[in-house]
Amino acid sequence: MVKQTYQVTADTIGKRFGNVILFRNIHFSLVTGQSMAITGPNGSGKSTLLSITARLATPDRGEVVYLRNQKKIGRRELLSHMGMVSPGVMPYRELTALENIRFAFNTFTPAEDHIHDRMEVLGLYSHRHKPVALYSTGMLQRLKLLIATLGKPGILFLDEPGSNLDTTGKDIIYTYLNQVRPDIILCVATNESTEAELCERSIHLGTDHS
Amino acid sequence: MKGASILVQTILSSIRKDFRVEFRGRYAINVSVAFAFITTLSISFATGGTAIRPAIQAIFLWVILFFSAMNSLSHVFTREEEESTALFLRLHSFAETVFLSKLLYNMAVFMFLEILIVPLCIFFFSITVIHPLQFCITMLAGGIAITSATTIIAAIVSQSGGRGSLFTILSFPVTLPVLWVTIDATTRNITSGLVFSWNSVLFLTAFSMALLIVSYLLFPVIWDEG
Repeated sequence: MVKQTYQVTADTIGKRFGNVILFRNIHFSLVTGQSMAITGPNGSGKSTLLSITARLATPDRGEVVYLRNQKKIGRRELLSHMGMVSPGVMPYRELTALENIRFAFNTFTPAEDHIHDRMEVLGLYSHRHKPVALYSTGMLQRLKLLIATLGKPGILFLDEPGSNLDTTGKDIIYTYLNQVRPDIILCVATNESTEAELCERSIHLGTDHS
Repeated sequence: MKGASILVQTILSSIRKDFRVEFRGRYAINVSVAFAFITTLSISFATGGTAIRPAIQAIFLWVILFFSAMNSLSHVFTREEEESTALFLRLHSFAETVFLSKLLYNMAVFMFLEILIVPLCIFFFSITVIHPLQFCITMLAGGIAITSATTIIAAIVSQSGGRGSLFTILSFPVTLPVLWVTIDATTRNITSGLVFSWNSVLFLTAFSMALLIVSYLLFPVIWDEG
């Protein structure tokens, strides 16, 4: 199987809300195997920059371009190559974990064994038939991580991935990220130094960019 | 062919998801059904057994149907925004799939409400259906026209504040021609001596087709930029 290589380039990205400039002139370029942390105080625009990078939000200035095997890919194609964990991405509360997974992956649902293995690792297997509404916030965060990573995406966006997780949960995530990091582009928006240290580069918002 | 099969499968999966989510909560459907029962009974008590003209019977029937459906029809999109599942849906479904599945879901909900409300109105308002086949076709065509017009409005309104009331206010002028034609066609189906015209069904079908094409083309802009 041919290994996929990805490249993301952000060129002079700027965003403002009304008269408030959130950030401007953000430049970066990442290829498969590279990772970047977006850090900064609350309200500095970490999540907004992550959403713009994932092309889920539009910048006021600049553009984000994705290449897959040296060929430009659009927003639509990008969706099938990326995974995202964010407080704004919520699975359906009325559905069970398995129903959410089957809906998210639709006709491309990974093999049941693989789903069960990953659920076991994240401590969700015994809760797979429980509605998500009955999950604790930590379990919900684990489910979001499971759904974001189950399809083995080439690009992974994580917004505060360790929030609401206990030490075991954080260890599982950090071990997983260290394993997959050489094969993906990883972008993490975080205030946790442990999470920022998982990445080789970082952008600090709220100072030189605003 | 394979692409079309995948599209159909994803639409069916999305509709199944919407039904599961809605019927496990049952909030919107329960409100719609309760509204229909309360208004039908209120009008029935208010008229106190007085004979109602067929034209007024048709108006009551469609006004009850329209306002009962308003809550359920908008809920399919507003729920996604209120429960923060919209981004989850954007990440895992293409805009076309979302639009077609929400449209078909809304049509199914409207038909469900018609099946409940029409017999109720026939019983309480003592409606006599003269042309049963034409009556059923009118109900079907009217329902499709209303859902075709309101699904895209629900998507637009879900991105704004004051969603519930705004949806009804914006939907009313757009669906006014539909209500006008369906009320006239229904009146002709329940009044002896009046001739039913297929032109009304033709108008409703053309109206639905035009709005569906425009909505299908515009929806990705609303959904992806939302």
